[in-house]
Amino acid sequence: MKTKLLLSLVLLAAASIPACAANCGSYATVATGCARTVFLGWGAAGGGAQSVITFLSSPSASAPVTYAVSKLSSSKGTGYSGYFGFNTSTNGAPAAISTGTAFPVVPAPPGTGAQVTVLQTCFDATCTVAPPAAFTGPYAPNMFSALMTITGASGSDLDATPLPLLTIQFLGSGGLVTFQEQEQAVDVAAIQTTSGATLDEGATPAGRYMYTGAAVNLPFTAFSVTNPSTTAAVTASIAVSDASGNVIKTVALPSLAPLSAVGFLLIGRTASDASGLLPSSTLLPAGADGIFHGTYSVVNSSGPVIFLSQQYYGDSMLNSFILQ
Amino acid sequence: MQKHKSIAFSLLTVAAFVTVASATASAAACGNYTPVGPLCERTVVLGWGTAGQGTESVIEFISRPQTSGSVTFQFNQLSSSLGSSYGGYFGIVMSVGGTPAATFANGQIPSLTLQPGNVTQAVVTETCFNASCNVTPPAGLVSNMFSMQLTILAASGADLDATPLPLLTIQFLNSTGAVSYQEQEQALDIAAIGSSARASVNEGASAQGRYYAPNGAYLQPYTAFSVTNPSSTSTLTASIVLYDFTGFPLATVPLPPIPPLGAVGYLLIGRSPGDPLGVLPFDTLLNSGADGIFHGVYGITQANGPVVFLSQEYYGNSMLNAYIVH
Repeated sequence: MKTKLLLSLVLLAAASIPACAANCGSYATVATGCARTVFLGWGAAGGGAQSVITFLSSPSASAPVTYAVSKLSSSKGTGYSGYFGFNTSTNGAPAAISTGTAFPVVPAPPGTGAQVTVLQTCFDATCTVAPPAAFTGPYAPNMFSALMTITGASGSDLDATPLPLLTIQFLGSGGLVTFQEQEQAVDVAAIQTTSGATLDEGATPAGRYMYTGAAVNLPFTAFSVTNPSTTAAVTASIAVSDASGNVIKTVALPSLAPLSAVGFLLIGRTASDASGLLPSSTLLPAGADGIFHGTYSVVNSSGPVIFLSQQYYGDSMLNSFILQ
Repeated sequence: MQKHKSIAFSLLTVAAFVTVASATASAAACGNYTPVGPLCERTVVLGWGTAGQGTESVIEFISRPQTSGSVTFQFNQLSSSLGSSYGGYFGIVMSVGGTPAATFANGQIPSLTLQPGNVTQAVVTETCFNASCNVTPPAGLVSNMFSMQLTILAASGADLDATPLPLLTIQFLNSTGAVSYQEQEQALDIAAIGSSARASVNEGASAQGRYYAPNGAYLQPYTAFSVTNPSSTSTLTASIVLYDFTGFPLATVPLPPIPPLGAVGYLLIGRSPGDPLGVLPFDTLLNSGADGIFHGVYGITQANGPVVFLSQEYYGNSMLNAYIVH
C-alpha cells in the first residue's frame, strides 16, 4: 500500500513536469517564470548619435514583464576585455553610467512601456577616457550591442510581448535629429546565417559620393554585421549580385570575434578609405539612371549573423528591409 | 460473387488510394498556398504607395536563386484612396527595369516574370485619372496615393516561401528632384493581415512646441499614419487609440468608414484649428516626459476587419518609418 502511494506520488510529480514545460512553451523555464533571450545587434551612442530603446508589454500579459541586459558588448566583442559601459537615461530620469550587467532591470506591468536612451558608450566608469586605439576602421567606438533577457510569467505572456525596438538618432551640430533608423531585437534562436538586402549604388567612381549642397546625387550604402555568438568567431563574406542574379563581387569580412561587429561603407570614398569594403575604384553595371540596381548578401557565414543595411540618397537615409 | 466483391473492393481501394495520393501530392506541393493549375499562388497587398506631387514609389521584385523555376508577379488590383467607391479611371505611370515609362490602368498592368535569382524594379511616378494622365483628380481623394493587390505565382510552395514579398520604397523629392525622405513597406500576405496593429509614438506634448521648425528642422517629433482596407468587399470601421506608457488610454477616435480597398492618411494631431488632416485636435495636450515630448503607444482598435497600418515619425530633419507591432 505504501509502495502504491509512493508510486502515485512519483507519477504525480512526473505529470507536473509537462505542465510546467507547457507553461513556458518553447521558452526557457527560470525561477521567476519564463525567459526569452534576444539580441540588439547595433546601437550607436556618442559621436553624434544616440539610441532610444523602447520596451512595451502587452495589455494581455498576465503579469509584469522584465527586461535585463545580460551582456553589453563593444564592437570588438570578446576581443576587448577592458571596461565597457554606457551612459543611459530611463524614462527621462537623470543619466547614469553603468555596465551592462549592473544596468537595473526594467519592469513593465501589463500594457505599459519604458524608454531607455543610451547617450554614450564608456571606456571607464566615469565615461571620460578615449576609446582604445583598437576601435578604428570598421570597429566603431560608439557602437554597442546588447544581449537581453525578457522574463514573463508564462510563454503566452512572452508571445504577447513585442521585442524591444532600438531607434538610432543621428544628431546634427545643434543636437537636432537628422536621420533615424530602427531595429527590432531578434530572438537568438531565430538568427540566420544568411541575410541580404536590395542594393542601389552609384555605378561609377566619378558619380559616387558627389553632392549637390548636402544632398548626395546617387545612392550609397552602409551596412553592419554583428556576431551574436558568445563563444564562436564568425567568418563570412559579402556578395554583390546584379539584377540577373550574377554574383559580381565577393569580399571576405574580417573574422568576427564572439559578440563583435563591423560596420562598412559598401564602397570606399577614396583610395585609402578604411571604411570601404570594396575599393573606391569599383565599377558596377549601371541602369539607365546611372545607378547599379541589385542585391547584396552575407554569404559563406560560419554562424548566425545580424545584418543591417542603410541607403543614403539625396538628404535621406533608408533603413533597409533585410531579406532572409 | 465473392470474387466480384473482392475485385470491387480492390478497385475501390485503388480509387481511394489514387484520390488520397494525388490530393496529398498536390497539397504538399503548394503547402499553405493555393494551387492554380500546375502552379501555386499567394496574394499580397501593398497598402500605401505614392506617386506624383513630389513623390515616387520604387517597387522591388526579387526571386531567389534557390527557386526551382520562374516566379510571376501579377497586378490584380490597383486602387485609389477611395477604393471601390471611386468607379472612374485610375492608372499609374510606371517604368519597369529602366524601360520608358508608360501609363497603365487598373487591370492592364502587365505581369512580371523573374527567373531564379533575378531582381527588377518598377518605378511609379504618377497616378492618373485618365489615360493620358492629364486631368485633375476628383475631389475627396488623396490624389497621389495608390494601393495594389498582387498575386505571386511559382512552381511550388517552397518557391513561394523563398520569394521575398515585394518591397515598396516611397521617395519624397524636393524641388530639385533630390530625395529628401525615404520610407519602405513590405507587402503583406492577405491571409496574414490582422485587425489590430500598434506602433510606439513620440509626439510634441503641447500645441506650443508641436510643429515648430525653426530653420526647417522640427524641434519635437510628430506622427503621421495611414490605414488601408485590404478587403475587396467589406467596408472597414476602426478607431485610433492612444496610450501613455502606463497603458492608460488617453484618446480613442473613430476613423471614417473606409470603403473596400480604400485608405486614409492622417496626422495624429492637427497643425491648426480645424486641420482636416489631424485625427486629434491641434490643441491636444499630452503628458510630457522630461524632454517635453509625449512617449507612448498608439494603434488601431475596434476594427471590424483586417487593416494595413503604417506609421511615420518626423523629427528634426528626419523621417522614421516605424516598426509596426501586430
